[in-house]
Order: sequence, then structure tokens, then C-alpha cells
Amino acid sequence: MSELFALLTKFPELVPAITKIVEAFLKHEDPVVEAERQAEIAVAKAAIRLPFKEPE
Amino acid sequence: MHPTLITIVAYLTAAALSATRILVATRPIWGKLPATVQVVLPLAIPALATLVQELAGVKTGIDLTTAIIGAVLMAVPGLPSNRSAAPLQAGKESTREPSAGDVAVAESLIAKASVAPPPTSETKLPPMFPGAGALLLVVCAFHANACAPSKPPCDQAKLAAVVTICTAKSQECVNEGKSKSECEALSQCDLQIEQACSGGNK
Repeated sequence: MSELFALLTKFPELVPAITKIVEAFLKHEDPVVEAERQAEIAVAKAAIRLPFKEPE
Repeated sequence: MHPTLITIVAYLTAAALSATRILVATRPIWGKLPATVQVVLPLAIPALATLVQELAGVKTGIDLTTAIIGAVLMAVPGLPSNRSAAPLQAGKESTREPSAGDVAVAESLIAKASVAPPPTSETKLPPMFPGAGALLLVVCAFHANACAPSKPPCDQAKLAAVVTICTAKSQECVNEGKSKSECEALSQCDLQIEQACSGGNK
């Protein structure tokens, strides 16, 4: 449980994604499809922020 | 189907009862109830929560049957086993003097506890394990049948277009020396990305 909290603290953007997946499950939708959708959203959001990333 | 206020309250109540010692602390009150009621009452809370949630979406007879079976199955794992559970008895007031029978039972239990059980290499599953597992599978099967159609996947063409445009806007922000928080286009882009994946594309 502490590892989960550590993960959510490090990546707070996971919280709304997990909420959406749980919400889909409660609405009797397929949580796997929702998880894939959230993953696509996360990838797209990361992609548009790439120019801000400083080259290593 | 959205969870209703009643469902949320029922689940929170069940979680609070499980996670705290409220039930133990209030035993002098509910211990006066008949033994059968004492056993069934904690199981009724999650079962009723499930029933309320399922009944909200009932449209056909199969839905109703599924709702009732699901609610009953929520209570089954908590029922006392007919092989391992002690005989039911109502709670007794701790202030009373123990009767001779109580003393005899206590001495018998102490004597039994002091004798080490014979070593056994056989791994025993809980009495309810196979039945509860099978019932859980049945519930999962019913739940899968009751699944609502999922939203369509992300509109890939629209998503790719949004990413392309927004990456260019991000680059402009970087060129102007703005940080992520100062780049207002990012929040609009996030919104457009979620719209492209919301299933309600126009």
C-alpha cells in the first residue's frame, strides 16, 4: 500500500486516470478499454510536452 | 449506471464497520439481539448495498434475477460454516456472574488449547473456499453479461492532428521562453485530447 501511495505521489496524474477506470467499472463499462483510452490520453499529453523537456 | 448516494453511504458504512472497532464497542447493545440476527445483520449491509445499486439499473426479468443473486452472493462468504463454526448463541452481559456451565465450558476450552494438535502436512483450505470461489465466478459472469457497451476508442485521426498542432504550440511557448505553467495553450490542448477520446466526437 505504501508503494502505491509513493507511486501516486510521484505521478499524481495517475489519480484521475485511475478514477476514470474505476468509474467505468462502476458504470458496467469495460475497464480495460477505459484503461487503454487513458493510456492513449497520457501518451498524447506527454507528447505535446516534449518540447519543454531539456535535452540530456 | 452511476452509483447513487444510498449506495455510496452503504459502502462507506460497510467499510467503516470493517475498519473500526465500532461493532466490538457496541456489542452490549446489539448483543441482546437473537443470535441469528447478529450473524445476518453485518452480512446484510454489503448485500443490501449491492441490491440497491443493481436494482437501479433493472429493466428486464433477467436483470432482476441477476440483482437478487448478486446481492445474496455478497452475503454467502460471511455466513457461518456448518462444519467449523461454533453453535450460535446470543451475547451475554459481562456484568453477570458466570454460571457453572460457562465455567465448565471455559475450563474445557483451556484444557483443549493446552494440548498441541498433531502435526499435519495436509494443507487445508477454508471450508467455504471452493464454494465461494465458484460463486464469485458466477457473479463475474453475470457482471460481464451486464456490462454496458464501452465508449468507442479514441479518434486516432483527430488525436494525431491535435498532437501535431499542440506540439507546434508548445514549441512556440518554448521559443518565447515560457514554462509549462505559463503556456496557456497546454490546458486547451489537454481538453482537446480528452475530447478526441471522449467518444462524443463531432
